[in-house]
Amino acid sequence: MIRHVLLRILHLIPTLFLASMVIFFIIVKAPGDPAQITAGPEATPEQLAAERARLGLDKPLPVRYAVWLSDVVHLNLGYSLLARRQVTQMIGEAIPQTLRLTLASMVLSILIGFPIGILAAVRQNSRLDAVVTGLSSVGLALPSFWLGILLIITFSVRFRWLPPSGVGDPDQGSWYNLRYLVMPVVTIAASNLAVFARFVRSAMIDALAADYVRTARAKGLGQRAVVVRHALKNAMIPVVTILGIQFGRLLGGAVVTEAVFAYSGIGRLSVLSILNRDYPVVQGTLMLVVCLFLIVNLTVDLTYGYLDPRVKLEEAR
Amino acid sequence: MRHRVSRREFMKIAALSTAALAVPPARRTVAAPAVGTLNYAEAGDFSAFNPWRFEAVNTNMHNQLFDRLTWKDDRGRVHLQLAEAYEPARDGTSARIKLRQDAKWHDGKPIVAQDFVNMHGYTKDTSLLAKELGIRKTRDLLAPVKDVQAVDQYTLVFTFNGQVPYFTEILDYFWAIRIDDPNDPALMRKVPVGSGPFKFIHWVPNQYARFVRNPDYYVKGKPTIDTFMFRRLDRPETLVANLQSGAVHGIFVSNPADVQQLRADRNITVASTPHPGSVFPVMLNVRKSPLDRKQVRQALSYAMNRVEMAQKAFFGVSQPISTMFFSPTSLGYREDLAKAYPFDLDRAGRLMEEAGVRNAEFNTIVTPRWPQMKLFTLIWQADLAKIGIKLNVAEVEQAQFLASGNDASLRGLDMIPWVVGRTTRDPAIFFGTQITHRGGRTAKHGWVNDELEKLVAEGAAEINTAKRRSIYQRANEIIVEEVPMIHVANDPRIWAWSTKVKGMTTDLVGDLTMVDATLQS
Amino acid sequence: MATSIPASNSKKPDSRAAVGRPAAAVLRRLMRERKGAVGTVCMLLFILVAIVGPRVAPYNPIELHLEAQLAPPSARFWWGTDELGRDILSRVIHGARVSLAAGVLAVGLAGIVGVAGGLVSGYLGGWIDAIISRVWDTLLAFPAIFLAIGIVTIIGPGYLNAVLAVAIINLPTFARLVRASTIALRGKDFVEAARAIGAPNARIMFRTILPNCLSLVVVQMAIAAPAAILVEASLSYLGLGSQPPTASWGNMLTAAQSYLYRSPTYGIFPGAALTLVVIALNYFADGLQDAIDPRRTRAGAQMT
Repeated sequence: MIRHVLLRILHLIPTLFLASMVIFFIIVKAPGDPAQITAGPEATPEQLAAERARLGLDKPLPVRYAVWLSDVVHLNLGYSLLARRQVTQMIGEAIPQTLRLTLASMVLSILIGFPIGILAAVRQNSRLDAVVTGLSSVGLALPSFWLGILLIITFSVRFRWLPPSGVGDPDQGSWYNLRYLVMPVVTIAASNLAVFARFVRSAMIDALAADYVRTARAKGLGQRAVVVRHALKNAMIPVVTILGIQFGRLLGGAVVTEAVFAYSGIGRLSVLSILNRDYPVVQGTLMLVVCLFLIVNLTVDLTYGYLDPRVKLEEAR
Repeated sequence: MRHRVSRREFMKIAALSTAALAVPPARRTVAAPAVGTLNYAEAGDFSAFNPWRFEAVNTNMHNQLFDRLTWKDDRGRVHLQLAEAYEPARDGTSARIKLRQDAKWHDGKPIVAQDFVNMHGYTKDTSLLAKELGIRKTRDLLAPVKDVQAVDQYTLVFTFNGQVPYFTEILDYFWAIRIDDPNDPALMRKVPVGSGPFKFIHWVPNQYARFVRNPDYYVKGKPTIDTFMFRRLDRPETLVANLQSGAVHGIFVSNPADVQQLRADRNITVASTPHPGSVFPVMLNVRKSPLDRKQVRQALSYAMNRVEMAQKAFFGVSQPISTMFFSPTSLGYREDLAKAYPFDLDRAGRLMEEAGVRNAEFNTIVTPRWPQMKLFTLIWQADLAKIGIKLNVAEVEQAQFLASGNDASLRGLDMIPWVVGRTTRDPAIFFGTQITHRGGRTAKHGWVNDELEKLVAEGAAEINTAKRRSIYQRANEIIVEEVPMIHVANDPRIWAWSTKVKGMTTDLVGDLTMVDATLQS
Repeated sequence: MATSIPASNSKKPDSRAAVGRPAAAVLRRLMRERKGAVGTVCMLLFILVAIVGPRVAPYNPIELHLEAQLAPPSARFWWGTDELGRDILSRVIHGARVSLAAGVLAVGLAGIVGVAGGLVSGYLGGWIDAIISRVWDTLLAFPAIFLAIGIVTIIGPGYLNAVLAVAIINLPTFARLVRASTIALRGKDFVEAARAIGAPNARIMFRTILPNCLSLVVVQMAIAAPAAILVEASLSYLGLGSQPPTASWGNMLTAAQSYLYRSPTYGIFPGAALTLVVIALNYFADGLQDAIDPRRTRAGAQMT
């Protein structure tokens, strides 16, 4: 077991390296001379040369990459070109915001999606099931930027109940600032919910149809007992998988939603820094996002394997 | 035998821990904002905290954090601030200033004459000049100043290169700053130290900057507001929503489309500066063919339907202009020049033919911070298409937009809409500090015109008003004729305030001044 | 990107079901199920709008009507006008072409390159496989939207660049799908036979193996297309797709958001069109999947 985990982690490392190389080369490929940016447009050629030396730009590429990588490992992510602040500080401020958003969406999706999915599965092909399936199709298709706009039109423009953007007022308490979370969370949760409900439903249907359930039913156990005891347990496996996968995707899903609501999380920070060519921030946030993404995916895979030993044997990798 | 956590238990644990993490972290809770907290919002974000940078996105924090020796209010009257007395020499070649002795920097150090000598020194420091645009701008501002001496601890003498009757206009842009870290001339890494009515506490990028009342301010009893929250909203269209919902007390209106709606709201007062000196020109890359030909530039100007743009892109809040000296109060004003380039697509087409340019294609950019730019550029694009000229427009973020506009060759673009100020100040100030409208070595985008440079130098030294008028009118004529940039409309600075806020003013520069403001609870 | 996860836990692609299935039978089965039929019909309607629509649209989408800025829906402008007085209905119709073409092009490109990559790495194995798989792994290390934004930032904004970025983020899915199929198929008798008679590798890959996993690829294209359309629209929304004055549903929504308070209806139409297209395509893809392999248990969920 431990060996398996370690092997999987080792397997990650080359991927991480390659991804870091891609991220490093974004700066190299990008137009514009970083020395020019920091030294200013009126710098004399000597000043420019000095600045390039100071930034280490005159060294060969592999050396620059090694220096950059060692900096990253020591959590020295440099300074933002625009805000002139430490990248680690900027990221540190943005992460908690995105975490609140992501976790709240996750909780909402589970709280609503889970019971709906189970109900729909238990009453398969009924009207409730049709409604749930139909709504989940819509939820999947809804572009998050459109849903966000619709919510803003309804709750900010028409009813003036909720603020249309931002993360909140630092002078006010956490409860006051929850109102800034409402619409972004609903926006993200909408599609997650759809996926989740669908998944729970299909997992339950499968589990309910499984042979041993039929056997248990034949033995005369009550419907509820059947559902709770046998089907639910087996339905968990794919559900846990999808939870983990969704969590990883949430990082990406938050990007557009954070843009719509000008919500200062890591998604918005990365998008703005990419659009503004603020390379140190781009590199820092992308490294972080990639690490998180890979770790989450690995955790999901491992949990999946842990929960269902059949899968471990079948892995064809 | 290892204990396998049953799936049920696993799910329970997972669910509980997820739920626990989702609860927002408790913050130091303040039940309601302190009564003296004023929330003010603008679009975009700060690009620097050094007031010398003088970029449109930063200007409304200048007078909150920083003071000047003297300043002019929006009626043009001179007020003393850090200066206790201002004595220009009889022959106009120097000025003696006595500093008030109770003024302190925000960190407690007293403000002395040596501080101003140091400031003058910044404009001579090559490393600072290279790093920070604001230092270069102030160097140009202080060009007529030969020397600054600290005669004693609280007395300054400015000596000029000749006669400078408009020195108080120069001082209007000379905020007192201190650059403690030569690697941070933009004053963004550490807390910027000023001497103004408010102290800087901290800045959360893209969210807000918090200023608090300076308890040691030398004007007793001022300011009355305890905390000034300068909020930055990424989406300009939410400014109005935030104001109308009461989330903020005042906004700087960035989309003229909103003005009509604001004027109709009874809980809101709409105010603008009486001397709007900012204008929207489209800066042309005159070194890039075919824009190096005057006829092409003139054609582009004739193809601009300014009257319609004023109505549709500026929603009626701006007036169409053909020159930077559009205001009759300016020394360089001439009526015929103010009416130059009426909309004439045929003439534009003919000029292009004369220049021998066919199928011209140009590239420009716009940015969300100024929605007016996108609108008038698209109107222009449609009209240009009618005479076979293709204008490609791309929308970029603020930082990229500013970087392109500040680059000498516009980073390869053919043109870029821009905002230029000080057109209603003394033309010596205007030409002295706006490198966008110069024709010499320091010209921003490489336009060369020796006659203009000669006139600018003459005008700065001339004291006879009639002679100055003819000098600047000729300068006006040159710029209109050569059209190195195409003027579109002026840019009134408009604010909208909740009726609970009183006493806010603007100075002649057009910057917000909150020292006298009061907030009703 | 988007993959269909069968409710049953089998990870092996069941390609035997696709062998020798005539297209007509597939079509019949597709139209029999209500969801598939509705999806197919709607999708064809949208394609019709995309092809013919621009010719019958009431106005030129970039024509300005400045006297009617941000006008609400009326008899003259059925869906109202935008901030420059351009007809929203006409712009939405033109936007259909932009979005649908983006979906087709991106998925097509990803399909072609991904299939080639998958075949090569699956059949030849060894270090070629190792290298190619590493490339996919690296691409998959980034959440899709980040990768797309990053690519467009490097190569510059614009419609075709955005389409290219969307194609790139879909590559790994196709490649892996085909690779898994190829690995499963390369040991089969008919492949051995082809090898025995001395057929060159390329011929074996493209003539023998590919037809057997083609239906999987086609289904994957149908599944990936709506997601590709959504990503292109997202890039457009962020300003990285079509540039003004070209109308795309994404950049129409960006503009609409700037004028929400003046014109609340502006943003409704482009977004509704986008949603409907994606729903239709999702139904079509689901239906197609069931039609091609009816033995598969239904209710396969989708991940966006």
